[in-house]
Amino acid sequence: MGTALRVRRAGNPSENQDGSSFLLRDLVARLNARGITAGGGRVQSGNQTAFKTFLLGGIASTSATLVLLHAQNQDTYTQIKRVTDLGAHRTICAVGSKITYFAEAQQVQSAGFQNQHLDNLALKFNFKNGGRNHIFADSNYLQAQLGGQIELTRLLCLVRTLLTQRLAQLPGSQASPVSLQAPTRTYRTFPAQCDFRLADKRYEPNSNALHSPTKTNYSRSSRIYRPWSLSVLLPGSKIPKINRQDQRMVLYLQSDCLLPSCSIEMDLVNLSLKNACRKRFWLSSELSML
Amino acid sequence: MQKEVLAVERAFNALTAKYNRTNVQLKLTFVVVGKRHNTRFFPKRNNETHGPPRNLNGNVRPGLFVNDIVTTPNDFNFYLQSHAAPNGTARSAHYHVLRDGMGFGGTANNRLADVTNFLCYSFPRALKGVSYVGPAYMADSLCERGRMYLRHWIPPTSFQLPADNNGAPWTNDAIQQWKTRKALDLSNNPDMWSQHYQHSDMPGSPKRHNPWHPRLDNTMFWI
Repeated sequence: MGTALRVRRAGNPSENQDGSSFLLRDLVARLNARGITAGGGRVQSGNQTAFKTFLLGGIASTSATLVLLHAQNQDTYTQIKRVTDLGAHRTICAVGSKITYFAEAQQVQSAGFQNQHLDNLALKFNFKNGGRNHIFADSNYLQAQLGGQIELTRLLCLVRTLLTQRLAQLPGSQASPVSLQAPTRTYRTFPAQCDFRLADKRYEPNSNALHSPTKTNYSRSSRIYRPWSLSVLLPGSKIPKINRQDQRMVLYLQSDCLLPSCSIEMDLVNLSLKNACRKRFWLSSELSML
Repeated sequence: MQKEVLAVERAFNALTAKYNRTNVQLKLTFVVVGKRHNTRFFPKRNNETHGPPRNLNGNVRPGLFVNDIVTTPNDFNFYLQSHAAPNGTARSAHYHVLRDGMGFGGTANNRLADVTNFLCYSFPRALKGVSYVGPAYMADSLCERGRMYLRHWIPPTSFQLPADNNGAPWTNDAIQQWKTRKALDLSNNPDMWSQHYQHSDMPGSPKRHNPWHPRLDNTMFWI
């Protein structure tokens, strides 16, 4: 995936006031716990030279960088994109406070909550590194519509994940394996030296923005099935047959490609399988953090 | 049709001539998609709306395909609302087919609408459907990225028209030519646009105008 780091504007209040310092260490610690090398640091975007050095330092072994912004800011965003695109580096900018909220929500394990923000972030990482995120289950239909000249099974292809060693062998796949590196410093001591302070501004869930899987998962009028969480296939398992007659598109995330050290099996056992909703939420949010 | 389709055809013909495949014909379907219209669609019954539980916001569920009554008669055009709208009022995308080279055959069938809906659900950044086709979304993102490269680096008076055009009046054609020349100068300026990468490892190769690093070429880094 990418390197977790943080960018702050100059003149902002103290470091922990928005909780994003905790967020940074939390994210790095999660990644390290998964066997993925990750590190974080922070920089102020006012200093151009330091900014560039920080963003582009150690890029030779890094595939992508996650930049946590203090707030949405077009100036900072523009600088980051210009520096990194011209320096052959992929970045994803995210507002740290939003991830803070989701990290907290994950701790309380609110059942039925869909962690769409982090899902989309994970998809973005995958795609920027040359991955393909979608598949048409009913590719025969599309092939008939488009004239039968295109190899549709590869047009929008199954399974590209955040770590792509296996998938690089797929036909049509060009991306190199993705890795995480620390540009400056790592926080390996979490949580022993972590000072956690709650954010001053709470991000309350907007009921309009939440999605109910039972209500919106399946649209009979469009005959389209929309997956609302990432399905995890354990190592060695096969892709399940799609039973739903009208199901045309489905997205999988293959865990054996995702996690080389693969501690996910153990975690699955520890899950409470009684609550399917909670289980899916857990999978969705945990994978997105990776 | 006068510029873009011609450019696509010209590029395709150049390719077929290059590889001696001139018998291959280009089947191009050219569709214009827009959302800035004043047409809105609403369901008749509550249970047809889309929204979170107990919060029926009055929008239709995704997958609405309208090919009659409110569309332009005798033209190949339709409305398709492919996205779920949890907030506000949904705007359906209006697709107007200017050339049907692939033979979708009008709105009497829903073949093109189906393909369009598929493409809306294949936008790689989301698990859900987006409001218009994914390729158009991606192209939009790339254009936006191009503007970002210039935002802080281009001098503010770069595209300010000089008062004097060497004694000639500023006609529309002259202004257009001046802008084209200016843009070309800009793209050749290593400080502004194409900074490092001149294919130095390949002497004699054409000059590269993409500003980003060549290592990013095969991926959609701008998404």
